[in-house]
Amino acid sequence: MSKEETVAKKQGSRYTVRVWRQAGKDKPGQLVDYQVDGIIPNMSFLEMLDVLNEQLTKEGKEAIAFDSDCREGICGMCSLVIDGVAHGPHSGCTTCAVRMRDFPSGSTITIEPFRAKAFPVIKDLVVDRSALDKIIAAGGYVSVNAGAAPDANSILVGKESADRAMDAAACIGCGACVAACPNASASLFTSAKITQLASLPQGQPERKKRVKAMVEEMDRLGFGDCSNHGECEAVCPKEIGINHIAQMRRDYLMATLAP
Amino acid sequence: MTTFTGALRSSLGKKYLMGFTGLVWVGFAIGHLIGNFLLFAGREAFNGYAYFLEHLGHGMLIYVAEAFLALTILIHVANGINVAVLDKSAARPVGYQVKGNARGRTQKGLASQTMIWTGLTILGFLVLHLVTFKFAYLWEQVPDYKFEGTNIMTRDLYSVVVRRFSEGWYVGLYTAVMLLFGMHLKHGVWSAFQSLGLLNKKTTAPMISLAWVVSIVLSLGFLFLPVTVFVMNESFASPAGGLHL
Ligand code: FES
Repeated sequence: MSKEETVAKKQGSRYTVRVWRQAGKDKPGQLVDYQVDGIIPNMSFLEMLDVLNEQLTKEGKEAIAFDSDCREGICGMCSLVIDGVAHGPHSGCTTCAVRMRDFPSGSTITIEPFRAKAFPVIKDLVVDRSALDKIIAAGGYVSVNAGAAPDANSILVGKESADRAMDAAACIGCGACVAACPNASASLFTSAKITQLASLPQGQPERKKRVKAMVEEMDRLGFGDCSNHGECEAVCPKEIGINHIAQMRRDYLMATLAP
Repeated sequence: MTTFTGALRSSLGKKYLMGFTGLVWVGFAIGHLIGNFLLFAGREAFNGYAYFLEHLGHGMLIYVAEAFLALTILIHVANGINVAVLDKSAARPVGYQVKGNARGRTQKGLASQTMIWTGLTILGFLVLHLVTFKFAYLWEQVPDYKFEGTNIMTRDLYSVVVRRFSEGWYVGLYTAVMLLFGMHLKHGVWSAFQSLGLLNKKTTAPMISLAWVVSIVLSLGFLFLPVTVFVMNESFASPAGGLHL
């Protein structure tokens, strides 16, 4: 151990981390306890896992698999359930934006993967979220060429519609809404993708077709029913509201009553 | 092509049915509560109200209403079991070992997570309620009542109610269930509007507050009656009945 490392270890805190370890898809898994040292308050949660992984590698053990990419809250790749809450204790932020100062030194932190039948665990904390892509592929697009940037100025969009579309478009597709929902419903994600387009003129021609196709794909993929717990809105890193779910229900009802 | 009936089988359709049937019963509960307050007016008024309901539309309307209520509650219960038990475990076969609650804007709490249990308790109570009041005449002696100044006879439903509410265990049970009923409504009422797609960003929060008010008014309203009848039984059991202090 280098001198700096020894100093950091002395300065930093120690945590007990209980992590879900699972060798692969359809393999049995369990929570395993680890001690991790030298964690300073300004480290991000994922950096804490990096430190732990380094430690494990040095001990000749297998590192913990977890997803991350941008590590600045924009890509939606990171996906952990920390002490029972998707994306951890801080509202309006992704796992990668959670800092260790949110956890009292010496505490035990339990980390589990996003859980849903539609999100099978691939390894440890990594889950397959491609079901969300399938929902988008079912209709979350505009089939015609909507033009280039200058064309945006030729079709006027009201402020309220633009705001609603922007709210919904903030979705980064992380799947925390599914993970947090007691029923593992994908209603918040699906509704955000639907209302984003339903709020804009370019989305109108396919509006009815889209809502039907996406809702039915969501059901087919084995996501659960919504019970209006609103937990999805509370964990959403982009704070997307359940008002989009109500909008989806209106649209679906209208699409089936007056096709 | 999805038809409306096909849509009702989707996950969203379950919400429409749940919300609609729930609201039907909330409407019924409000009417029922108002009717119940006639107990305070006395034997003649309460029996007269029951007689009036039984003879609406040549005595047919009550059967239509009852059939409608039975159908809606059947849908509500079947859907509820489907959503909260079957679909729920199918969509998340492996659960979390640590359960947490996000802070802030969540509505997830004791009321929202126990809908199925409060619901089934209310259902059980409903059966008991029908057996001990509506169908009391089938298994116990119910005296007849003659309306003042007429020759019209009817069952003295008022006496059934007052006698039952003089029993401490029944009043206790009734009170406990009404508190659970309030909890069910606290999540259920605003949720019904959300399920039917009737809320937006501005109306969600006021509707959640309104649901609080409705649940408190209905739950306290319903338990106020048996408790009052129990405490003031002498007044209620008198020939004229009602509450006179
Ligand atoms: S890693 Fe990109 S959002 Fe967290």
